[in-house]
Amino acid sequence: MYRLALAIAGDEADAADITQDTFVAMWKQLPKLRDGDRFDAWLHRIVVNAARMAVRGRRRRRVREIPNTELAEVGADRTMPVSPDGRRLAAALTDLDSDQRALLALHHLEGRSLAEIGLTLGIPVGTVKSRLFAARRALDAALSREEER
Amino acid sequence: MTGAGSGKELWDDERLAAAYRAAFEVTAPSGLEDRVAKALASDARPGHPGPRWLRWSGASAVAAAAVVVIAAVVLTSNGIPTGSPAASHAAESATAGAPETPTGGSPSTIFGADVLTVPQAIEVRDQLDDSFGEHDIVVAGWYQQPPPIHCQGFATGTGSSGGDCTVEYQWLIANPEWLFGTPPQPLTLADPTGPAIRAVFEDIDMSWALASAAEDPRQGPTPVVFVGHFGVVRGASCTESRIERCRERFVVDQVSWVDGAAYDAVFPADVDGIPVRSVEKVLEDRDAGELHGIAVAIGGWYAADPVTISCPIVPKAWNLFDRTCATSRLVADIPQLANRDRAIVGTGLRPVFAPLWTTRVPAEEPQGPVVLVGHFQDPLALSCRVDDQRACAGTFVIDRVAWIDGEPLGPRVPPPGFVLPQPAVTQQLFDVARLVREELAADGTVQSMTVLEAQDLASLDPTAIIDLDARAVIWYVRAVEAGTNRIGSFIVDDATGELIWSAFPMPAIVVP
Repeated sequence: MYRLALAIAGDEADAADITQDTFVAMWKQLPKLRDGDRFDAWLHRIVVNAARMAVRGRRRRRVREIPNTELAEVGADRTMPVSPDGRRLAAALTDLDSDQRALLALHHLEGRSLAEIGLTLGIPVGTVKSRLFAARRALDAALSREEER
Repeated sequence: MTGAGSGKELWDDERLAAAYRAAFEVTAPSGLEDRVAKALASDARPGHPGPRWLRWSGASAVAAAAVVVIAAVVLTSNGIPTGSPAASHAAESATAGAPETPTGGSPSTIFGADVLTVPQAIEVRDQLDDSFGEHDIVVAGWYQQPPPIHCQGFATGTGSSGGDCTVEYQWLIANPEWLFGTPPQPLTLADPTGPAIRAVFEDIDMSWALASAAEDPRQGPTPVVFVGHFGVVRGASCTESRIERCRERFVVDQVSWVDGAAYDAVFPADVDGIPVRSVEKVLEDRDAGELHGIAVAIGGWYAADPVTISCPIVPKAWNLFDRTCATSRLVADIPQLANRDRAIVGTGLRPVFAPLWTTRVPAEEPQGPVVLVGHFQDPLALSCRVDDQRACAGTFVIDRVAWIDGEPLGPRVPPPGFVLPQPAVTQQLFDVARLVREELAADGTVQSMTVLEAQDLASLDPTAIIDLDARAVIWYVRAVEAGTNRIGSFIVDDATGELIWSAFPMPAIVVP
C-alpha cells in the first residue's frame, strides 16, 4: 500500500500520510463493502484516490517535508532512487498527472492486469487500455527528456 | 518506446518494471505502523472524532464500542415524563445545598488558569460581552450524559420537530444532581435545581461519557472540568429569536479532567535534544537572558488567523517583523480560540516565521498543540527601527514546526521546482545538510534551509556579508549543535557546494 502510494505521490511524507488515510478510510467504509471478494480492488481504489488527492493538494503546497532522519543520515539512506533508471523514472513521473501515475503504477509496479485495473478504478477495460496507452506515451516522452539532460 | 530510432536504449516493459522496483520498492518508514494504529484508535471511537487537538491524549483505553441505549420516551411539553415512577428519583438523588465547589480532587488550575465553579462561570457569562466566543474559561462541575432524546413530542425551543434533542439536556451543574433516570425504568428527565449551564459539545470526543454510561447505565453525575466559552451567536441555528439561548450556552473546547483523570496534550520532553519549554518558561528564560544564541523549543497551543495574513509573499519584500503578519498567529499555554489580538488566556506569545518560509503550520490544523523550534535575537532585528529593536530582538522566530499533536515533523525545505532561483543540483540539499553538520564540532541538526539569490541576503540576514555576484544562488541554513543546542546560520554557495559564511553561534543583538 505504501509502495503504491509512493509511486503515485512520489513523496515519502505524502505516501505515509496516504497510507494512514487509507487505513482510516478503510475502517470507516468497510461496512459499505458489499462484496468481500472485491476487497483487494476496493482497497486499492482507496489508495489510488487518496494518492490522487494528495498530488492535487500538493500543487497548492509550496514546500515539502524532509524527515530529519534523512538529513542526519546523508549517504546512508535512499531518499532518492539508487539506480539510474529508478532515478530517471522518478523524475519523469513528475511530468505526468496523478491519473497517469496511478495507471502506470498499478500496471508496472503492482503487475495488475487491465481487467484488475478496471475493477480497481471502476472504469471499463477498454478505457483502461486507452488511458494506459496514453500514459505510457507520456511517460516515454518524459523519459526521453530526462535522458537528454 | 523511448529511444526507438534515436539510438537510445529501449524502455521496454521489463526495464520499466525494474525501474519501478528500484524506485519504489521500499520499506515503509519506521513509525508509520504506530501512526496508523493511533489514527485508527482515534477514529474507532464512537461519535465524531473531532479536531485532533481536542482528542483525548489518554483515551486509547476507552472502549470503542460504547453503546448508549436509545430510549423512546414519551414526554410532556416541559420534557418531564408523566407518571413516571422514577420521576422522584432525581429529586431524591439531588443534593440540594451541597457545596458549590463539588468536584473534590479536581485541579485548581488548568493550563495555568484558575478553575471556576459553575456559579462563577455564570457570573462571567453575565458580565462578558463575548459574542464571538473568544474568551475561554475553565469550569469545574458535574456532568451526567443524557440518553439520546428525540425532539418529537415536546417543546424545546429548538424549533425542531424531530431529530436529536439530546443537547437540550446536556448540563454542567454545580451540584451532583441526578437528572436522568435509568433503564429499565421509564426514562426520566429533570432540569437542574441548582446552578447550571447548558453545555454544547461540538467536535468533541465524548467516548469518556458514553463509555461510562455503557459500563454502568446507572451512572450518575461525574465530576468534570471543561475548557470552553460562552456566546457563540453566529451559527446558522442561532436565529434572532434564539440569540439569547445561544449566548447562554457553554461551548466546550476541551474536556480537561474527568473524575480524577486529567486529559491534556502531552508535549514531548525534547526535540532533537532541545528541551521543550512552556510559553511561560520561555518568556521567563528569555527575560533572564538565558536564551541568547541557543535554539528554543516551545510546547504550546498554536492558533493562526486564516484570514488576515497580509505579509507580502514576495521574498524580496518580506518584512520579518511586519506587525500584521506577526500578530496573525499565537502560541499559548492554554488552548483557545482567540487569535485576533484579543484575550490571551494564560501566557502567550506571537511568534513569526523565519524569512523566506513559504508555508505555515498546516492550514488544516489552525489550532492545536505544537512544538516550535526557533530562536530569539534574530539578526534581522538589526533592520528594525532603533526604537523597535528591543521588541524585534525579543520576537520568537520559528525555524521549524517540529511536532504537531503527537506527530514529529522534519525540517521543511523548499523543493526544487517550487522556488526561484532554482538550485543547481536536485540532490544538493543533502550535500548542504552534510556540509553544515560537518561544520558543527559536536554534530547537530538542520532546522531550516532556504534557497535565494545573493542580492536578497540582506532581507534575510543583514549581518551576512559574502562576496558573490548578485544573482548567485546560495543556501541559507539554520542548524543546531547537538548537546549545547547552540544555533547558527550558514551559507553554502550552490555553484561550488562550499560553505562560504557562517555565524555560529548566532551572535546576540546589542540593543542601544
